[in-house]
Order: sequence, then structure tokens, then C-alpha cells
Amino acid sequence: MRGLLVKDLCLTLKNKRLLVVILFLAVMLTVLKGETAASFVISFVTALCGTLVLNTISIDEFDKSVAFLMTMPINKGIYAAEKYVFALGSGLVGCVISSVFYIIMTSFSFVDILQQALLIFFTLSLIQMIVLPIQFRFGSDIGKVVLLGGVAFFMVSLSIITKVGGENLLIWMDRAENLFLQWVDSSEKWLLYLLTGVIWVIFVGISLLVSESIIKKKEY
Amino acid sequence: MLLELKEVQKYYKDFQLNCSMQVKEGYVTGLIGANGAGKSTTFKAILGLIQIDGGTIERFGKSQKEFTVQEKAEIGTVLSEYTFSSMMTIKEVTAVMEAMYQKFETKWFIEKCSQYQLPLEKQIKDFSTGMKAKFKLLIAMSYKARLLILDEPTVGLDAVTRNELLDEMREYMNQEGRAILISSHISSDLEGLCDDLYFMQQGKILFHEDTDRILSDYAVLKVSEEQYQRIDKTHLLYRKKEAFGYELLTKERQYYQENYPNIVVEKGNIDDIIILIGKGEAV
Repeated sequence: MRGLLVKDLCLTLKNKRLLVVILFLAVMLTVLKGETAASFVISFVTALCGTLVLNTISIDEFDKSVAFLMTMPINKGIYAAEKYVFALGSGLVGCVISSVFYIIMTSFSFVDILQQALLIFFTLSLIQMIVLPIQFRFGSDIGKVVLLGGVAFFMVSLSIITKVGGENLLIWMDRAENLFLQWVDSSEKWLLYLLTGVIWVIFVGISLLVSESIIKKKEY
Repeated sequence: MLLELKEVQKYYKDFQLNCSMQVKEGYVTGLIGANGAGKSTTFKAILGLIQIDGGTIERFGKSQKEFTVQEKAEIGTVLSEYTFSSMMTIKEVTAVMEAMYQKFETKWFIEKCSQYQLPLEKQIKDFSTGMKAKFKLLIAMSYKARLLILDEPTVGLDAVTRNELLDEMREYMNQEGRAILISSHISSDLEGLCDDLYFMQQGKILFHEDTDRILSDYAVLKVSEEQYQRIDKTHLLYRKKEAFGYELLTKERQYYQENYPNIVVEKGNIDDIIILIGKGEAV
């Protein structure tokens, strides 16, 4: 796996301009918006870094270099796992760098930023766990269409359900949200973090298994 | 035995592979056939890039289940269509290879790149055909693999470059315990390099012979219709109808030279065999 990580890092660093732009935008937003943009900047940088893995999958696909990689001492499972490590790792690096930057540049405390950063990283990870199997299954171009289609389908379905459910549904959703928030407020923080961590691990595990099963069926 | 295929089958819509072959330690084995004969499909099956529908493949005496991921480091590969991402440079590839293979010989690889004037900082997509071919072969030989699987490593190259690469392969075989399986439709490359040859057509191995035997004992007989009626057909392998009569392939050149002095007997070469097998019919 180490060789694959080196390869993807080399390919990613070729996008030096993109990385500089990300950094520049983050700095500018911080300077212009200050503390109010904390969530946005950390989310922005984390998300952009987290999508770098999609570029490496695209490049592998475009060059058909995956076939050659499979002749090396790796297998399809390792290939899939490496993409997950790279995706989560790059997202984490983006999250940490932007968070540290904010702690240095603003009056935010470490704890405040840490909570925001963890939530952002958690959310990004969940999105990555949905996107990665789609990329492996449909490829880069069709994968984007499928993803957009999925988002559109979700939005339309939500709209239809809301219309059909009417006011009762909205009242029920409000109650459910309040109950959930009450439970969160009353629970021990360590328990919430543990639960979030467990959900995250399960989600990542399921996504990885799905990706592995997709890639194992591929022939080159 | 470094590699053994036993009745390996793969079915596609318009093509079926069904072949058996062996690559012995210390041998350079050639796989020859026209375009579309199934050479690349065979290689992909050996390298695990496609699932086979039947038969078995043993690498270094181990079945597919026993063969571990780490043992893939004992195989060096050149594929005609695939290599590292074209955006990478040799310097970056070197870093990847060092991380991927414990036995990667960085110093040897860099020296060879320098010898063949392969620029370290240039992207692979900017390499010429010859440069890409050299790069791919050097990569395959850079980590002391016991078995080289080379799918058309010299295709599209000029004679000088081809000769350079063939010399590299000969030098590679100086070390004991190694073997090469090489495919090509350039017969002159294989005649000078290979110890034995498998002839493939439409997914099947039609025959297998030692190269020396092909060059010494095989012959093409050119006979008229009348001569064909009278000739002993016991040692004939293939025949092809021509305007003058028949072209016949035999592996007993001396027999026909001694017993039929009036018949035109030409020493066999690989191209003749390919043509007769491809265009002719078995006798």
C-alpha cells in the first residue's frame, strides 16, 4: 500500500496550482471574514482536500494504469483500501491545517475549533464513503452524473414526501429533532463521541466492503 | 517449472482461449501468433488481470490460491498497452518502486536510465515509443524478478532499439533461476532469443517446439500437384494450396532432402510456419 500512497501523493502534488489556490482562498476568507467564516473555511479546505482522491481515481482510469498496478505486489482489495486511506488522510490533513490556522489567526479556543473540525471531518467522511463506491462502479465521468442524479432524486423525494405528509409530517419531524437534541444535551459528551466514532467506523467499513466487491469483479 | 498453464479457458463473445503451456527455469519461451491470436489474453490470465473460466495456472509451483500477493514481486511485467500513469516522471516512478519492492535496485535502474538516455524529470507521456519500451523493460527487470512476462516488448521499435532490448534480456538470463515468457509477432526477435516457441492461433496452442529444432529440422517443401500425390505424407504437418501446387511444412527436412531430390526444400523459419499454420490446413 505504501507504494500506492507514494504514487497518489506524486499525482496530487502535480496539482500544485490547485493546492495554492485552496490555501490562498482560505487565507483570504479568514482575513476578510474573520471568526464568522471559521466553519465555512474549515469545511471548504477539508472538502477540497478530501476530493483530491477522486482525481487520482480519474487518472488511474484515464491512463488505464490500474491494469499495470495490479501486476505489482498488491491486489484489488489493497487498491481499494489505499484510496480510502488517501481520501480520509487528505481530508484529515486539510481539516487539521485549516483548524490550526484558525486557532493561530483568531481568538477561537482549541476545544471550540476541535468540535467544529471533528463534525466537519465526520460529515465529509460520510460523503466520501458514498462517493467512492460510485466512482469505482461507474468511473469518473458517469460517476459524477450518477452522484448528481442521486442528489436530485433525494431532493425531489424529500419534496414529494413533505408535500404528501403535509403539516403533520413537519410537526412530527420537529418533535423528533427536539427529542434528539434533548438527548444530545443530556448525554455525556464522551458517550456522544464514542457513538459517533462507532457509527463512523461502521460506515467506513460498509463502504470499503462495497468498493472491494465492485473492484474485485473488474477485469482489465 | 516457473509457470504452468493447464487447459486454461476464457470465453468471450467472439473468442475462446483454451491453452496449455509451460515455462521452465532457465528458458526463454516465446509465444508467437498473429494479431488477435490470444497472446495478450493469455498473459492477462497469467497475471490475474482476468478471471479464467476453466483450467489451472501454477506460478512457481503454486496454485492461484497458494500464490500470495508478496510473491507477485517475483514477476516482472511488460504489458503492451499499460504502464505507470503517463503523468509521472521516472524520478516519481523510482520513489513508487522503492516503496513497492524490497528488492528494487535503485542504483542499477538509474544507471540504466542514464545509459539509455531516459530523462528522469520528463513525464512518461512525452517519451517517444522507443523510450517508453526501454522504460517498461527496465522497470520489469529492476527488482530481480525470477520470471519476466513480456507482452510484445519490442513492437513499433526500430531495429537498433529492438536489438538493445534483446541484449538486455539476454544479459538478464545470465543469472540462474530465471525465465522469460515473451510474446511477439516479430519472428526475427524470437529466433535469436527464445529456447522454445509456442504457436498460437484463435486462442489455441497449435504446436510447441524447440527453436533450434525449428531452424535445423523444419522445412517448407514446394511441390507440384503431381509431386504432392506421390510424396510420403507421414512427416507433413501443414499444407497450403498455391498456384504451382502446394507448400508443405515438415519437421523432417533431411528425410525429404534425401528421398526427394527433385523437390524444392527450403529451410524453415518462424514466419513460414506462421503463414502455413495461419493460411494452410493440417495434413
